[in-house]
Amino acid sequence: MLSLLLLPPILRAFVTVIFAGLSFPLAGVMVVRMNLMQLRYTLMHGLLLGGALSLAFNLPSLPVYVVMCLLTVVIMMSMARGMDFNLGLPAAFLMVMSVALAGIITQVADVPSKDTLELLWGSPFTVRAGELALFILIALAIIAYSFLNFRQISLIFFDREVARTSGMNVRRHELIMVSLIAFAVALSMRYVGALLIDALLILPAVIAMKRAGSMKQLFLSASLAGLAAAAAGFLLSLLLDLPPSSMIALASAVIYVFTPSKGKRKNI
Amino acid sequence: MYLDPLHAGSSLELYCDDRLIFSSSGKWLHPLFEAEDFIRKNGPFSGRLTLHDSISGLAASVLTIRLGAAAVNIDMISTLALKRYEKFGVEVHYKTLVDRIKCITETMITPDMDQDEAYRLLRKKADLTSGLSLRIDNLSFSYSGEKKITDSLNLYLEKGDAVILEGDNGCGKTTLLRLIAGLEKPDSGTIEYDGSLQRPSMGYIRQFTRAQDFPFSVREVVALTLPKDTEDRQGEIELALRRCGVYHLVDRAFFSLSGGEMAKVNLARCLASKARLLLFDEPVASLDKASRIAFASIMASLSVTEMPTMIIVNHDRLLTQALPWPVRRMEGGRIA
Repeated sequence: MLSLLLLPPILRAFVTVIFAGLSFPLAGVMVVRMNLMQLRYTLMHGLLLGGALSLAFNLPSLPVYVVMCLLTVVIMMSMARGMDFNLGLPAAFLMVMSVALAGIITQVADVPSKDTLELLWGSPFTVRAGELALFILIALAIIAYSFLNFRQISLIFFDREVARTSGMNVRRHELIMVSLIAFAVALSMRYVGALLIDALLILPAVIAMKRAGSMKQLFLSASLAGLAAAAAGFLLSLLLDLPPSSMIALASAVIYVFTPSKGKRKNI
Repeated sequence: MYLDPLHAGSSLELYCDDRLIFSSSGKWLHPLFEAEDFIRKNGPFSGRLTLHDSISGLAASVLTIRLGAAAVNIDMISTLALKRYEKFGVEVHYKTLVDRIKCITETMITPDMDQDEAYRLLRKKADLTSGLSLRIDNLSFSYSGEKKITDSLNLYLEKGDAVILEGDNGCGKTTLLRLIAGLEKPDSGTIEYDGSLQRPSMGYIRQFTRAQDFPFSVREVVALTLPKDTEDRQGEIELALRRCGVYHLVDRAFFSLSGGEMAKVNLARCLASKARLLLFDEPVASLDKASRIAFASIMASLSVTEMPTMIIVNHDRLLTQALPWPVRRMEGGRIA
């Protein structure tokens, strides 16, 4: 196993999943609290369009994914302006448009259907050295933002109106968080695939919510749960010769099932 | 001891069991406010507090009684002050008795005025409130161009003022609070905070706390709006929670608390924030009677200590009765 790990593509893949495991769950906490499931779905649909574009025009997929995600966020935020962060309608519009355009592009450019389906599955083994640097940079940006702005993030999560009255620029922080989520989704798409994004983004956050008694514990537990799922899933995939993305998703699910809840919270 | 002459340069000396614990050379009422700060920071003192003051009119007697002095020695005292000391059971010694002290505070305070009310007036006069002034001019607002919710509304509050805002359902009380808080943009008119259009940081408690399943601890909630430069963060959190009587909940999950407990923790959050303007939108709605009384008691104490400027939107009769604050009524988009 160690000799396998020392092979450059596998080592790069391992570093990728470790950084993803540590950082993406922090973005997942933001997705859950800000009720951004719609954004996540919209980004995934946008990425399908990005994938179709990269296949049709033979472009490198990661930069196209990142551009598509940022474009989706900018359009959604512009459409949602004045709607108190209600992304429902913009999300529905963009999802439909993305899939429609992706369908047209793949048809016109004659992209093989097998390649199109591969968009739904990613693999960390395909990471190149330059991509790894970008990946680490974005992972560190998510960690640094969460750590340095913990109080501001917590205040927005507690009550965005209380945050606004306390003098915070809430919109700026929301824009940063949404952008970080967009990056996390774009990278997840590339390495674990559209269908398993939740394994590293949402599940660790949900696992942490089962046990955490404070926001600090929540962020820390989500990050540790993501790290454990990513490391265990990846190593098991090497050991059993199974797809790493599926094994990471499975490890996340197992951790979720075996994490006991702290107790039922009261509904008010 | 307090019956001895004042030391050279002193205008006021405070003793505890005949031991000098504080002295000041200040003028007017400032030495008494300084003594109050001294006791707040270093007290409480279990011994007998006595005081020697150079001059005491009615205003000084209000402050001295509030300090808890059991006996006073005054070089020059007014008749009104002497009567007030006697009314509150303070042992008085003096050298010279005069009809009145030549100071505006001697007429500003009336002999039958309640201690808290007189104290509030004096703190405002001494500019010792933490509040800010609020001036609203010709404020108009409507949702999507429909009927005007506020219509050329005017309101002026001095630093440290506390008012209760009442009115029928839908008359625009909550909207006015949201406009002041900057959560809505007015169609026309201005809101000035201490003479500036720049909106300061303020404390805000909304009518209902939105339920959520996120694990905020009570400690974290109070820490959320602590000023950045707070040195003893844990000390400030503890102090705010103790004042609101909920320190025992410090490590509990906020969203698992009852409505009354949440209201008190939210109030502690506002206290800890040291905000100069506090806005409360029906803070006691849905609380039981005991919680409403406890809430009112904390608010009343706040309005005579730190004295931030406060506006409470309220429908609750008990709160209106418990708080000796002026009531302003909103009708037809204006304040009557």
